[in-house]
Amino acid sequence: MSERGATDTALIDRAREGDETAFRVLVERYESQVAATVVGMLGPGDEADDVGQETFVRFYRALAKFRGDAALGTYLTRIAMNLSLNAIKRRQKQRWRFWSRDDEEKAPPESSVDGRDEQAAEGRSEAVHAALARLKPDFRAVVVLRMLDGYSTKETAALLKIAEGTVLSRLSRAMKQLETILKNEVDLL
Amino acid sequence: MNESDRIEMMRALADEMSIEEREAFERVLADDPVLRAEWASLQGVEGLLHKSRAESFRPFFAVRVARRIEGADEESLADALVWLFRPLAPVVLVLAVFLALSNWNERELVGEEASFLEAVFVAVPATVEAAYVMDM
Repeated sequence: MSERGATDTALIDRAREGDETAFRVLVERYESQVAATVVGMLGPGDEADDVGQETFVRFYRALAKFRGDAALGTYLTRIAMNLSLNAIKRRQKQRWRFWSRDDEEKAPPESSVDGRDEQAAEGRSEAVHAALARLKPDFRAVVVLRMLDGYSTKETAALLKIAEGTVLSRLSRAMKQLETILKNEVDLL
Repeated sequence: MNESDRIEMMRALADEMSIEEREAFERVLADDPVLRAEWASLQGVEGLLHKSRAESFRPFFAVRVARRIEGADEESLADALVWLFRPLAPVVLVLAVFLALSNWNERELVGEEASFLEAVFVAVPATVEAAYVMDM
């Protein structure tokens, strides 16, 4: 069977035995899912790339212990989310230390108006990420898992170790805040 | 619109309602223009979030991960060396103190007027005169 068609379990077994190609296929297979989580939490940039890499390094180190109780995607999402929340805490500490404004406080950029689809999409994406960055980390985590990663309310609750009612409540308030920002400040709605 | 209405909308958005709940929700929507506008707006936000979902990191991400793992392996070798030699540290410290005291007691090797550091490290002063004496 080719590497691309191999199951996660088969690739994990091979990666445990030191097969670097098998591990690379796993990285490529789950890059999109981890990127959605990390970029959703931190916005695009070097920090997100760094946290994304660290997610897979942690997984690599834990290969011997990984028993497959959870789907690999869920396992990686949990690592990515924890590392992203840690990165946000680090940012907050730095902001406190240097008393400087960081990305979370930046106003969302204006949406593109030059009519070119690609640039407009990029501007829209930047505006949405900037709006996400203005949510509290706990609220942002719920939006990212629920709306970007596509986890159900129950799965999101399990990943964040909170009640399902809390997920719905935070999601409802976060979506309202996003709606207000996107409608009033960047005119995207 | 209250919090409970909003939570119902979140469940509808996630398609996590039973058929009966969904029908009841649609009936409420049909009768309430404010709720309908709110629902349309919410769907707009959902659409924007989906379109903004990152699909990848910068190019060659897998290569960077591989390099980082190689770096991590090097770090673990360094950790292993530290772990190996750490138990020897107290012994090395005791030996160093012993040698220093021994050198201090025999400081005539570097001269009685030598400073503490010169005596401890048996550091002969690097002067022209000292070089001349050594040459003799």
